[in-house]
Amino acid sequence: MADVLDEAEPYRAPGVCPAGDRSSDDFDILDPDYLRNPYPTWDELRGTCPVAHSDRWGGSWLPTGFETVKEIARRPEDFSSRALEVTGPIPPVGKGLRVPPLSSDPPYHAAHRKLLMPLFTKSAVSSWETRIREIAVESLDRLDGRQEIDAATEYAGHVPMQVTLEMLGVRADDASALETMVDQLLRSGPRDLEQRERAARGLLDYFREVLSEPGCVEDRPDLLGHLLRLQAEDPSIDEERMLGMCFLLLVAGIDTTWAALSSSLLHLASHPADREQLVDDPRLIPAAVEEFLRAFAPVSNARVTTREVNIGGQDLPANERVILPLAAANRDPEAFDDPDQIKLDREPNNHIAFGLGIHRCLGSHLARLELRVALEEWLRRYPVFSLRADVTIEYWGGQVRGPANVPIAIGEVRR
Amino acid sequence: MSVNVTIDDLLCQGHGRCEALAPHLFEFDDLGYARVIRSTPAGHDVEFAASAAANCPEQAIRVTRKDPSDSESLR
Repeated sequence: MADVLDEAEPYRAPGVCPAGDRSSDDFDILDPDYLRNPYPTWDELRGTCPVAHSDRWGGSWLPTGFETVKEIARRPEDFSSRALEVTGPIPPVGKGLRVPPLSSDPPYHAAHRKLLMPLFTKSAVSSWETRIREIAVESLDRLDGRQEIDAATEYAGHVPMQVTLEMLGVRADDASALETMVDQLLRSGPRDLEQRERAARGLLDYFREVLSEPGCVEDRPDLLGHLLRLQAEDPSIDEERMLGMCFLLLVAGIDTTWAALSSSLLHLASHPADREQLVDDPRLIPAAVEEFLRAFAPVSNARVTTREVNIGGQDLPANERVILPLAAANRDPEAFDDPDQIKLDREPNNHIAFGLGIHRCLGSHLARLELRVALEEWLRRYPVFSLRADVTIEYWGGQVRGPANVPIAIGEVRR
Repeated sequence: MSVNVTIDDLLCQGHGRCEALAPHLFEFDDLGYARVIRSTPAGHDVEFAASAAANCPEQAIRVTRKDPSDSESLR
C-alpha cells in the first residue's frame, strides 16, 4: 500500500538549482507543502545540486546525500555547532544560545559531554522503563471510551513531556507553561524570531528560578540534583552553563520523541499489514522503531562554517549556515535500498536519525526506550485502528519536523 | 570460519546498535561506548558480528577473517 504522504502533491522548490545561478535554489524549509512531503524535493536536489542554497529565512545550505551529511557531522572543526537554529540571522561568535554539549565545539565539547554521558547510557535509562510504561498506560486510560483520537497531541506528545518533567524533577503543574514555551521555540519559533527569543529567555528564566529555590539542593534524586552536584564538584561550571544544560535536557527530548512517535503511529494507522505484524509479534517492535527513525528522522540541526570549505563538490564561504536534514540522508538511495519503502525488518539499517560523530544524540537510548514502550502499549490497547480520511494532516518543522495531528479512528480496544 | 572483531575507539560514539543486535558479542563501558566481549566469534556468531558492523552508523566495527592467508575484510 502506498504511503498516504506519497500521494500528496509533490513540493517543487521554485527554480531549484538552475545551472550557473547558485543564488536562487530557493527551497523553502518552512513551506507547508514541503513540510508535508519533502521527499521529492530531496530526491531532486540530490540529483541536481547535492548541496543546495536558499536565501530564505536567513539563508542556508542544504546537503541531501547520506555521505555528505555524515562528512559534515564528522568535521566539527569546519562546521561549528555554535548556532543550531535553521532560520534567522547567525549570531556573532560567542553570542548564540549555549546549550552544552550540543552547541559546544572542540576542544571544549568533550568535557561538556562527558558530564552528561553517564546519565543517558542504556543501562542508566533502563531504570525508567517501568515508569515510562506507567505513563503510557495512564495516557491511554485518559482516552478511555473514545472512538476518535488525535494520536499526536493526545498520546505522542504526552509521553515524552511527562518523562522529561519527571526525570528533570520539575513540577507537574509547570507542564503546560513549559509545553507552550517549547512550542514557541521549535514550532512557531522558526518563522517568528521574536517569539523564539522570548521563549528561549523564558525557559532560561524558568530554570534560574527553579535552581534558586531554597529546596533545590544537591541531594535531590533527579537530573537537576545531578547537575547541582556536578557544579559543586567543579565551580568552573557557571550559571550560564547550568541553565544551558537544563534548557537542553528539557527541550531536546520532547518534540523530537513526540515527532518520531507521531510519525510511527501515522504510518501504522495507514498501513494495516505493518500494524498487524507488530500486533501479532511485538518482538519486532525494536527493529520497527529503527525503521521509523530512519524514514521519519525528525531532526535537522544547523552548523556554521568556520572557514571557506568544500563539501560535496560545493565551495561554501565562511560563516554560512548548513542544515543537516537527517531524514534526507536516511532517504538517500545510494545508502538504502528502496529508501521510501518502510521495511520493518530492514537489514542493515545504519540510519543516522540520531546524528553521528561527536554530537550523536545523547538521549538516543531514552528516545528508543520511550518509542518502544509507547508503541507496545498503544498496540496492546488498540490492535486495530486507522487514519481518519476526513481530517487533513498538518506538519510543523524547522529544527524538528513532525505531524501536528494524527487523526485516528479506533477499531478495537483490548484491556 | 571464525573472525576477528575490533572496535575503533576513535569512531565509536555509543549509538549502541551493536549491543542491541548482538548483546553476547558487545557491551558498553561506563560512559556508554561499545566494547567487544568476544573478539573471535565463530559459526553463527559471525553473522551477528557482521550485522553489528553493517548497522553501525559510525562504521566503527571491523570484522576480518582470522585465516591470515585470506585477509579480505568482511566489512
